[in-house]
Amino acid sequence: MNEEQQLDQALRDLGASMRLEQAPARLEKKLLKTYQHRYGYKRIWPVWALACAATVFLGALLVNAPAPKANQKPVPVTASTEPVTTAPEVVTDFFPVRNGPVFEDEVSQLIRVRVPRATLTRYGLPGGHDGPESTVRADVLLGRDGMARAIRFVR
Amino acid sequence: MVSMPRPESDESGLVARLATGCEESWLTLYRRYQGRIFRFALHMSGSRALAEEAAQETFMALLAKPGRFDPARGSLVSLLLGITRNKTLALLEKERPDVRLEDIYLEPVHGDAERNLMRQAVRQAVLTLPAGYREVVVLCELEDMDYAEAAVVLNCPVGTVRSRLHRARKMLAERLAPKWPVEPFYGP
Repeated sequence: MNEEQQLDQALRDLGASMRLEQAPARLEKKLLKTYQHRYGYKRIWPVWALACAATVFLGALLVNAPAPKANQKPVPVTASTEPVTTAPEVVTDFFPVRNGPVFEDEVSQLIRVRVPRATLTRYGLPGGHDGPESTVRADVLLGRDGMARAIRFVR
Repeated sequence: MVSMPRPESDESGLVARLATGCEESWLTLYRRYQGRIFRFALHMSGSRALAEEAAQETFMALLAKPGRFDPARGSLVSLLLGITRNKTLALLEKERPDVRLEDIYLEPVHGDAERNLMRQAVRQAVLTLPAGYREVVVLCELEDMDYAEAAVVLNCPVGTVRSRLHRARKMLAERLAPKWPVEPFYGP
């Protein structure tokens, strides 16, 4: 083997030996956080899947959450999101789904769902036990993590 | 038979979806190209820390301006490597790290310590080349890129890539000549 061939082989060998080199895992995590911060955490889920997820979550709250106190007043939540529909509707104020205030900058999406009618009672609203339908319309504010932040009811 | 899309054919789609907040597209893109980006910077600098920083800056640049990718001008990997090249050279200029072989030391292959020593010698010889020659060796010899694509990365004519590579190989041969074993261990 002449020197040229030896050089060829040596370079090929070096290239092959480092073919499995990868950037450290922490870089992926770091860049993912940067991406989420820049573009918002929006999964491309179909709307029906989001609605189902919100309904299941709210249903779980209905089963597990303690009943609100009788004199608890709704905490108005200001959201900068656009109304879901421009048709004339009557809506309540937003009720926080979990304890604590809801901040505008953590809200990423507003979706329209149907929830069990009994959910009205959980938030101190009338009509939880009567009405022609077993579900009512509601708007749910989702945070950047896809979890519900607040709910309002629609008539 | 279902044919899988070639990576290049869905690059535009991946990049377009970045700006819509599609995390899946971002992760697909990052995982597809991070190895090549990191390896290029590592070959050029000899430093893992610098290579990581250059890779980070490359992907941050893409995040900041995904619209800079124009498929008519070349593949996405060419764009990314071009950015990595600039970032690496800037970091090298700023930091001037010493070439520390322990940064990129390989575990010896069982029973092949001599081969490992040869790899280290070649790696060190590549690192001592001037940057303009080093990068053509890294792209064309170590990363198996063809001349045309290397020319896009380096933003120079194909002829320049060829002539630089020819000159770089001569320099490497001169630097490595004393190190070739008397009995060639790669075979006849």
